[in-house]
Amino acid sequence: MELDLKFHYPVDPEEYVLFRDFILKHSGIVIPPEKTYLIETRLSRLMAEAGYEDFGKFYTYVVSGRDPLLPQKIINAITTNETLWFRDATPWRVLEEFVLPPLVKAMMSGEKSRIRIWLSAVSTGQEAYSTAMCVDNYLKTNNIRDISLSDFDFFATDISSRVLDYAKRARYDGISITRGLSEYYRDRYFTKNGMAWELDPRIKQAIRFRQFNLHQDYSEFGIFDVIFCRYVLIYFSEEKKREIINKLYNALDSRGVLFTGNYALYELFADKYDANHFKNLTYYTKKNPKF
Amino acid sequence: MTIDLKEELCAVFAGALAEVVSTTTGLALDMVSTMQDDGFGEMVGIMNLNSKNRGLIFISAEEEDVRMLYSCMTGVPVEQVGEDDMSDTLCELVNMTAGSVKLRIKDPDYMFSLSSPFVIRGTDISMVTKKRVPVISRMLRGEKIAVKIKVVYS
Amino acid sequence: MKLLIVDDSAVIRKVIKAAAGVLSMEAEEAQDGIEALEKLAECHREISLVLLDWNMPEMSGYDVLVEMKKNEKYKDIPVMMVTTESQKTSIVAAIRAGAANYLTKPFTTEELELKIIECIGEEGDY
Repeated sequence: MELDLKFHYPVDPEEYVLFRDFILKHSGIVIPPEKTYLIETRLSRLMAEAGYEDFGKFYTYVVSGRDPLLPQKIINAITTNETLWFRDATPWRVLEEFVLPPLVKAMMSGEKSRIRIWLSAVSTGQEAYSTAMCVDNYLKTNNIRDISLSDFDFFATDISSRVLDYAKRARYDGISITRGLSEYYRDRYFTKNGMAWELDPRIKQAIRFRQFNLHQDYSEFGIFDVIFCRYVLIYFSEEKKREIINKLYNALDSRGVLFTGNYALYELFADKYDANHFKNLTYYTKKNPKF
Repeated sequence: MTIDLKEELCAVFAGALAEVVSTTTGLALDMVSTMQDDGFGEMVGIMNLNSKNRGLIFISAEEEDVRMLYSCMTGVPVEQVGEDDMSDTLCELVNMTAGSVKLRIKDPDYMFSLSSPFVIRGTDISMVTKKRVPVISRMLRGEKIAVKIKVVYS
Repeated sequence: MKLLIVDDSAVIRKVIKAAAGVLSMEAEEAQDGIEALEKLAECHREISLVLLDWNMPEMSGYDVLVEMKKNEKYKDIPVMMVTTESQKTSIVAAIRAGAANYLTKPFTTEELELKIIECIGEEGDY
């Protein structure tokens, strides 16, 4: 069938505003006008399945609450999933060189009883598993035997419930296994089973997954030594960004480290955080830590 | 074509290509320059954009870079990439880029439908157009590869 | 569990095959709509899901979908469109014609695997 262009009715501005506001309200995520096409490509199937062919009518159906699962389905569809191992490499170098040594020392001296790392947008799992592999490898290569992965709490969250189910399987195809993962890590932590690469169960079991939306309350999670909140803040409104940065501050230990991804966000952090640099990476620590 | 429109179209095409490459290969590309020359890489994927303002899209790269793209797309080692695989890679890049651009263009004069992509190969391929024909060119470069995109409207 | 992958691009077929492999699924391949119908005639009983490109030479994926839904033998096999045609009109047309799911190119293998699971459920041995 040849598609006739005159039948192409894209999302009109009013429909765009309705869904932009809906998505903002339910997730804190902003869809800028130049990305209107995301509403068309990502939500058309849900719309067609609900029996509509016009986003205005579909919106009325969505907010009617007749399908209680629909808001989460919309959020699942609209969020983009990043899928690289050790993305940018530098945060894990910082972890090995500057973050883990004092934390491990504090554990050895009994000053600390547990090291807590929050991976706040893990998508299909690569960032969480990269971090646990990095820690395990650090302990092994430095002959640290008194501390093991069980002394760490790797808390992994994502707004999308469907990607977390994927992450929990810890099984990757021959293509995704090549994206950013060195042979060193692949050979030590993965086993090939048929066409699938399966992660070492020790690493898999070290991660605690939970569906969670960053614009909700996280006071109950406790205090973390390291927080990964990478390539996420850009999707939020300015107001939400500030709110999240403040909440992260409260969830971060006084000597904790926050990784956000390679964006120039310093102005938003300047009040409360110090910017630290390693190669092209900027990461944040709390101002005036109480040592 | 006004300079503003040309810049806008340029950003749309190059942005779509970068997104396609990053999604399908995991390779990040940055826009480095507006190309001053009319040069192409050794392999050029081409598609006719059927619209009121008829257009052509060209995506080109050196053979070595096309091999790398295929390898990253499929997980096949670079040395095992065959000739047909390379042509197919460029055709798919053109196809997906044009498909992504199509969604971002709402101006009916530039709205197009897709056609079958094809590939030409050779060294020192150049293009000569009449003076007033608008040509949009961008070079995108990453750590491992460089890709050129050109769009011509007549 | 077997997939039928219908796409004129060998690269795309290879990528889909890799994704199917991780779900312990085997795959049959067809390069265009006509070959897809031939494959279906041959082995439709083994096929649990058909992945269809839209723009292909000879016969489009949309036409294959329509043919499948008309045929008693094939109409219950779920179909997922995997295509660069990502406009609302195409998506609505395909869902109306009976497609179970819709994935737009470009996609990551993780996304493809998630969509396959959505179509066939978690029945694999993973």
